[in-house]
Order: sequence, then structure tokens, then C-alpha cells
Amino acid sequence: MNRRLTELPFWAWWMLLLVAMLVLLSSTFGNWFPVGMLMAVWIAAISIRQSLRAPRATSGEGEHTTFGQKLLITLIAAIFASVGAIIARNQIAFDNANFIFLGVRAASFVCMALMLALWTVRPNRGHPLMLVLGLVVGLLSIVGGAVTSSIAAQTSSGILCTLAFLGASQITYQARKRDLIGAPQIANETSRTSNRTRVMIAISVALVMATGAAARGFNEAMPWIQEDLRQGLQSSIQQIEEGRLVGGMRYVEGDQIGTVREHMLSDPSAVALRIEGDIQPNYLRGHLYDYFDVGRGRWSTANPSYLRRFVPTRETLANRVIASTNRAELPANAVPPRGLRHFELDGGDFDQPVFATMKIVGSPIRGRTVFYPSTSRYIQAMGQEVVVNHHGQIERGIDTSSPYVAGLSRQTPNTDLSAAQSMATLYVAPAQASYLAPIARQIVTDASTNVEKAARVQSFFQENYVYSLDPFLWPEGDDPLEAFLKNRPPAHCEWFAMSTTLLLRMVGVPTRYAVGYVAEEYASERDAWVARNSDAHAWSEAYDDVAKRWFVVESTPGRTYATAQVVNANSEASADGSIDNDFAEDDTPGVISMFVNWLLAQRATDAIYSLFYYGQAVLLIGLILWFVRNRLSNRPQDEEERQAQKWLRQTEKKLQRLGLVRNRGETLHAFADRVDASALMPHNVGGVACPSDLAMWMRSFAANRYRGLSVTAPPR
Amino acid sequence: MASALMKNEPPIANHSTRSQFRWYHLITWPIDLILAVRKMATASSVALVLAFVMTLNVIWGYPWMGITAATLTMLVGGWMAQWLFRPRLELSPGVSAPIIAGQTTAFPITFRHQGRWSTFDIAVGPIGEHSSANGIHRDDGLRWQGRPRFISEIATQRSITIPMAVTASRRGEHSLPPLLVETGFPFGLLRYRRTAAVPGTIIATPEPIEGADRLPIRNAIDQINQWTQQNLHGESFDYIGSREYVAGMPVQRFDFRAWARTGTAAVREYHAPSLPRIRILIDPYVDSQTTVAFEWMLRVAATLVSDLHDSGFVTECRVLLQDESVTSGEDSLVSLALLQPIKVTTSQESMNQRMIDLLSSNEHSTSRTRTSTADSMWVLSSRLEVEPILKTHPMHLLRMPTPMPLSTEG
Repeated sequence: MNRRLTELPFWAWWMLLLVAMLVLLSSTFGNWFPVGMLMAVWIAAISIRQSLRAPRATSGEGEHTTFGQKLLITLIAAIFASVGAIIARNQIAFDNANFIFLGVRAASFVCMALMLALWTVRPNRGHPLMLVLGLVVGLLSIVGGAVTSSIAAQTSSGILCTLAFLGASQITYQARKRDLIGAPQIANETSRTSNRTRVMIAISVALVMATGAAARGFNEAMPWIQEDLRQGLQSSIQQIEEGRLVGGMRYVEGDQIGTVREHMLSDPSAVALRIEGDIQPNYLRGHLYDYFDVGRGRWSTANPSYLRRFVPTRETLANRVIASTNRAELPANAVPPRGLRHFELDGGDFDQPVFATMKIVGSPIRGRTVFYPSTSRYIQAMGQEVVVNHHGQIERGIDTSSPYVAGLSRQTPNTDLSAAQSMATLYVAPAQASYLAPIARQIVTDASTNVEKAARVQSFFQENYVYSLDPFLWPEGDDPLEAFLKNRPPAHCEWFAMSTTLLLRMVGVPTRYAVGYVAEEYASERDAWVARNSDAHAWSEAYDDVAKRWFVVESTPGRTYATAQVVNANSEASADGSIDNDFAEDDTPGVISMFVNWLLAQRATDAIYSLFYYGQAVLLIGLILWFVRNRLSNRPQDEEERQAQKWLRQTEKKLQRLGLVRNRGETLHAFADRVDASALMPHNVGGVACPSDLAMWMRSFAANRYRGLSVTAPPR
Repeated sequence: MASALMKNEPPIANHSTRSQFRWYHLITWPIDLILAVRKMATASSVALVLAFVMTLNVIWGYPWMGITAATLTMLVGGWMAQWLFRPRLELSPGVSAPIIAGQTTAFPITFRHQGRWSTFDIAVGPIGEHSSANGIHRDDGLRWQGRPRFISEIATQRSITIPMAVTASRRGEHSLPPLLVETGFPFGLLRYRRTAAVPGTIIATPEPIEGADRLPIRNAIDQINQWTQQNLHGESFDYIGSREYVAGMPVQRFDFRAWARTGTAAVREYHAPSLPRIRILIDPYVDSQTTVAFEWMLRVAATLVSDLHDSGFVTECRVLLQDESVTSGEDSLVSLALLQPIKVTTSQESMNQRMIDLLSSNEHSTSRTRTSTADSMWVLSSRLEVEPILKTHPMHLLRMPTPMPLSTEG
């Protein structure tokens, strides 16, 4: 095959794209292999047919879908849909499969088959519908788990999508163009078709770089957009959740009073998290909220711009990015399981070693919240970078469709509170402060330290209130929190956590509102600890200014806070820093196994991302060098010659402003004659320079250069 | 005459592919925007928009941020790239001769790209029947023919000339219809489509008569030809006299005797027999019912002019009530192309009298010439009233199919 790449027939380009899509689908959906092989045979058959045809047949001219072919396409799609349905039915029957996943797989199955059918009848021109189908296949395969939610994977998928789509679009465009003009009666000013190719390559590179930047931008902005949108649609979502349609299908959010209760009551036995390991997980934190917005009646995390409306501080509470840690920085035995990366949580200093790990298995359809104990020292998970908020709580960056591992310490980390953090965690709305202050002082009385104050408040609620999941109804027009503190009705955890948080703030204890699950149930049939919807919980965390730690304040009557506890002695034995790793094949890694593990941890998307990340700089430098080289190569070596050409360019520019442009191939003398002729026209009178003088200069320029004489400067 | 044939207005800056802004666009901009988006849409952009809308589900946590970025970038970036490399063409047609109505004629058009950057993949062709011309006046008498022409690249401030075919459905002076300029560069993501005005006008001469209808004209010309051949037989070159030599005259004709006699160089002059001069008198007056006949008459006239010219006769075309005749064949056709019918509203006596005078003066001048190949006058009129006048003069009446009354007088 000695053809140049650019001379490949259209069908060959289509073949490459289709093979790439087939590989993507087959790798995404494991049981695609037999079907993928069938489709590969199909592609090979069409390719052979095309390569055996006359070269004329590679142009795509006259390729139109007849009625019979349309019928054929429909039949093929129907056959593949039936095969898909049979496979799906078998899986439903034997595998207790996820219906959504099966739907995704079936849809991608049919789309790919349709693409192949369309390609069969139009191997060169392709069909515009193939563009749509290709994108749908890409989207479905991503939903099916082809790539993770990490920035690297998303960027890579975006780049590949851009390249593939541009290629497919160019093929259909070229085919349409040929269809439009019939025979290739292409008129071209010059033979510089490579100029067009160069421009197209430059545009492709620019689009790819822009895609990378946009993907990164989306990754940064999306949480805020999601938050704002969620706030905007809160009422609608709440209505749906009240109807218990989907509330139980998501992770608990708990930002609005009552939503934790709703979550607990909607499909209470549904398992939200599964925790594997010999550790009783107990409190798994998913959300930490800073302040309570009375107007909107909900807790919010410190969005820096939003927070400034409540807390006048210039200090930002921006999120931080944590990159995965290199192996050398890990503890001796800390081998990241296959495909997982190690992220050291820097919410503070851990003065105690990791004593145990737990593998947390979530459900991707419930959301992307990461739940882990507050004593977690590190997280091992799929992902490139992890973004944590100012509390050190993971916001995003972890692929929750895969299990992740939390390395546990005995205590929460030592941490200093910044001024902004103090302000954010001490903020109480003035309307609430007016009635909370006396109550808080009355409860705390003579307590001096933050821990003592927290204990008093905790005791106040534990002793004077009763837990109930019945809704707390307060008199219309009254402040609900005031009514709760005044009437002391039976209530659920949210009321206690909120009251505790705000009361402690009133007495100068930085406190935050936490929401998560309390996983205390061991499900022997699953061989794991489970957190069900009914285990959703809200609590408070107060800051101990002496020990410089956050600690849990559990005010809900009947509940006692407990950190993760080892229930198996064997596991305890390995708690001195060793990792109980379900994924690792070898706990005592050698150099080779370390290398193999590292190699396996590198995914294709990461490689593409790295290539792009560093490659774009190389590309940019290359482009700049190319431009510089072009300019230098066109630049004459002789200074006098350079000056002469500069003067000529200036003169031509002056004339260009008067609407006089020298044509290609027009001699300077001919152009000067034309300038003289046009100088008589009224629209040139009063120009920046007298055209006839410039024409005269051009004549002398041409004459002098012909004679090898020096050129004088043009008239100003 | 070329200036009369092709009236190229001075090029207006960016006159060509830039859409014009009108005050009502302030009100209609939403509709304009929708239409513009629709006009820009290609299969690729529609696919991208659909995918982008689908990927907006990222706000619910779907892992499609990469695809969202890709689709958005391709839409926005593609539009920006297209805007950068869009064709900004200034068109200048190179028409040098009138075209014949009903016939397809090709002439070169120069496309000059005024943009800062090169432009690529430009298709230039006729505007479809239902396409709008963006406010540019369209002359239905003239249409571009053929499939769109494709230009792969025009560098900035460079031009390319390609032939474009045009057909005039009727005679007259027509402004050149706009052309559709389209590009899908880059990657066919979006379509850039503009109508480009082609400055200047073109003259379409009447369509010659073809087929059986042309036979009487051909016969008449053959008859004239026979007479001419008979009359010219035996003619010799007659000496008229001598005149002073002027540089450039053929030295073979030096009259040495006269030179010796007068002392100044002189040359002899002869009278050469020539083909007869055929005069065609066009009657521009029409009755209310004879407009069709008038057009037919002009077609006959055009056929006569071209056939006589081809046969080597000198023709002289003259319109009744006009004082000057046009002698060149091409100019005669142009005058026929531009001739407007005049409706008869009052008495026809004055114009009839004028015709009689012209016929009489022609007979008089013919009788004065010494050659037997007397000049002929052909009178073409769409009015039936003319026929009695012509009968009073010696003439050859040609019976032509209706609705064309044709008379010749010789």
C-alpha cells in the first residue's frame, strides 16, 4: 500500500472510523465480543468488495439509497434489535442485570448496526444519519462506562470525539461536494492545494485544543452550575421527591430540612452503599454545609462568590485540587489496587497511621457524591485529580461508578481554621441569632471550652427531646426553628443537627452541618456492610480549638457517634499501616509487580490526555517555529534587498488603500500605468499619497533593480 | 460599442457577498436569526446540535462533559473558522459582445477575494428558483445556466476567472443576475451562503428565427444574391481621378504623369463595384393587438441582419422617425435589442407619410447611381396599414407566416 494517506478512498476512512467505534463498543460492553466479531466480519466483507471494485467506484458518485436498500437497512436494524433483545432477555433472566444498562447496550447495539447498514449501501458517500448515529454510539458507550468522569477521561473522550466527527463530517462534505459539481471540475487558482490542507490541520488542532480547554472549563464550572440549577429547580425536585418517585433513587443530599427524612422514608430498604472489609463503617460523611440560608430555607456549601453575601471576607474559600500521589510517597505497603489512584487528603495533619481500609461500592445512577468516614486519611479511586472543598471534603474528580478505598486513621486530622473558615462556620442569620442567643447561653451556662459547650448542647437535646420520623408541624407564621426549640416536639435528626449547629455558633464554636449515612448493618448475604436509604443521617461537627480538630456532636436522641471500628482481630493486626486491599493481587510488591501495577493503572484515556496535555504545547511551539521559519526563509539575506522589499510593500499598501491592488503576474511598469490611469479618477483625488508619484517610484524601483542599482525611498 | 453592451458600474466596496442591513431588521431580527441558522445548517451541524442538547444532561451528572465540550467547540469554533475564511468576493464580468436571446452564452467572470485570509471550497452557481436574492434585484429575463462551479482556493487579494453561462429569455438590456456563493469550509460543519451581485448589464439581441419560418427570409436573400451576381458580371474597375498622395497610400497606384505634371505626388483612384447596401427600415409603431407581431418582426429583422451580414451585404438599419442609421451588423442587432415599441394612439398619417418620404428618397438615390445593383430598402412593420403604402412602390413582397407582415422594397 504505497498510497499516500490523503489519497485513501472515502470507504477506507469510513472503515477506519467504524472499526474504531466497534473497538470502543466491544471494550465497553464485555459481552459484545461475539457480536463485535460478526460486525468486524461485516466491515471486512464490505471493505474487500470496495477494494476489488474499479477505482471509479470509490468516488461515491451516484450512491443513492433506493427503496429496496432502505428496506434492507430497516430489516438489518430489526434483526439486530431482536438479537439485542434476546441477549438482554437472557441476561435479565440469569444475571439479574441492570435494566438501564441493558437499555443502553441495546440502543448502542442498534445504532451501530444501523451505521453498518447505511455504510453498506453508501460505502463512500456515507449518510448524514451516520453522523448522528456515531455521536449517539459515543454517548451511549460513555454512559456504559467506556470512560470515567475524571477530567482526563472526559478530555480524552472530547478530543477523540472531535477528531472522529471532523473526519466523518469531512467525508460527507467532500462526497456532497462531488455530488453537487458532478465530475471533479475543480477550478483552482494555483496548485497550492497543500495550503488548504495546512489550514485544515491548523483548524483541527485549534479545535482539539479548544475542546480540551472547554472540557476543563466545564469540569471546573459544572459543580457550580449544577448547584445553581439544583437550587433553581429545588421546588420541582422536592415535589417529585415528596411523591417518592425518584427521591430514594439518589444519594441523600440533606441540604433542606426534611429531605433526609424523605430519603429515609422513600424505599427505606434500598441499599445506597456497600462497604467491604472487616471494619464497621458507622458514620460516612458525604456533605458538609457551612451556612443556613434562612431566605431559601436550606444549607449551602461555601461557594466563594455566594458566601460573600453573608460573610464579609476577602479571603476565598476556593476548592483545592489534589493530584494523585506517586508510589514513592506512599507508605511502604500501600500498593494502589489495579486501576485506582492514590489521593492523600490534605485536610490536615494526621498524627496517627492508617489502621485499616474499607472498600466503598456506590451506585453510579445515584449520583457522584463520595461518602467516607471523617477520619479518612486517603482515598484510592479512579480519577486523575480530586477536587476538595475548604473543609477537605471531596467535591468531585472521583469516578463513583467504580469502588473506591478509604484509608482510615484513628482520629480526624489536626487542622487550623482560617479567618474565612471561622466566619463561614460561625455565621448565623441575624433573624435567627435574636432568639438563639439567649437559648444558647442558657444551655451552655458556664462551659468554657468548645468541647464542653458541645457536650452541653448535645446533652440538652438528648435529654429533652424524643426522636421521631413523624413530620414536625409548626404553627403557621412562626419561625420553625424557634418553634422547635420552644415546643420541644418529637423530631428527626435534621432538626437536632441544625439546632446544634446554630446554637454552638451562637456561643462561638465553629460548627458545620454534616449529612451522610450511618452504616451499622452487616448484610451477610452480600458479605458486606450496607448503608440503606433508612440509614441517612444528619449531624453536627464542631471545632475543638485546643486539639485543633473537628469532632462530631451527635444530638439526635438515641444515637451515639462512633468512628469506624475493627470487628475482626486479623484486620486489627494489619492496622499498623498495612493495607487490607481486596484488589491487590500481591501485598508485597516487587519491582516488576509494581511496574505491572503501574502499567495496568494507566488507562487509554489517561495516555491520550497526557499526550494531549503535553502535546498541545509541542504543537503550539511547532506552529510558532513553522511560522518563524517561513518568515525567515522568505526574508532576504541582504539588508539593502530587505529594505527595498519593505519599501515596495509599503508602497503597495498605500495604493491598496486607494483600491489599487497589483495583480498576480502584473509587472511593476504595467501596474504603474494602471495607477496613473486610475489617478485621474475622482475617487483617488485627495488620497494619502499622490498615486502618480508612487507610480513613478515603482517605475524607478523596477528600473534600478533591473540595472542592479540602489533603490531610493518612496515618496511620503 | 462595448461600453454600450456592458455597462460595468464602478466596483462598490464589498458590494458582493455582504448582506445589507435595513431598518426593519431591528424588528425582524429573531426571525432573521432563525432563518440564518437554518440557512447555515448542514447534516453535521444538525447532528452536533442534537448531540449538544442531549449532552446538556451533564447537569444531572451524566459523564458527557467531554462530548459537550467537543460539540460546543465544533459548533462555535467551526463558525469562527468559517467566518475567518469566508469568501468576500467582488465579481466583475468580462462581457464584450451582446448575447442572443434564447441561446446560452458563456463569458468569463472574475472573482476577486477581498478577505484578509484565503478562502476555500467555494461553489458559485445560479440561485435556485425559490431562493431569495437578499434584496438584490433579480432580472427574470436573464438566468445563469449549468451546475455550480467549484473553486478550491482563492488567496487574499487574488482573483480567479471562470466562465459562466447565461441565457436571456427575451431581448433587451438586462442587469446580470446575482450568483449564489456557498462554502462549507471547514469540514462542512456549517454552510456559508450569500448571494453575490454581479455588476453591469448585458444586451440580448432578438432571437433569430429558425426552422421553416426562416425559409422565406433565406429565399429573399438568395434572390438578392442572384441579382447581385448578375449585375456584377462584366463590371470593371473605373478610373475616377487622381488625388494627392498621403503617406500610407499604396505606392503601386502612383500617378506618375500627374506627379510630373503638377510636381506633387499623386495616386490614381478607381471606383470598385461593390455589393449592394441593404437598408432595413424598422417601423416601431404597434397597434394594441400587434405587440407579439412586433417582437416577431424584430426577430425577423435580427435574422435578416445576421444573414445579410453573413452573405457579405452591407446592411443599414434605420428606425422610422430616427435620423441616423446604424451600419455595423453588431450595432444593428443592438439597436434591435433596445428598440421599444411605440403604441399608436392618434392618426397614423404622419408616420405613414414619413415612410413614404423615406421610400421615395431611397428610390431617388438608387436611380441616380450608375450601377444596376441598386441599393434595396426592406421595410419591416407590424402594422397592416403599411402594406398599401408599400404596394404603391416597386417592391418584392414576401409572404411570411402570421403574425408577421413583412414587406421588402427594392
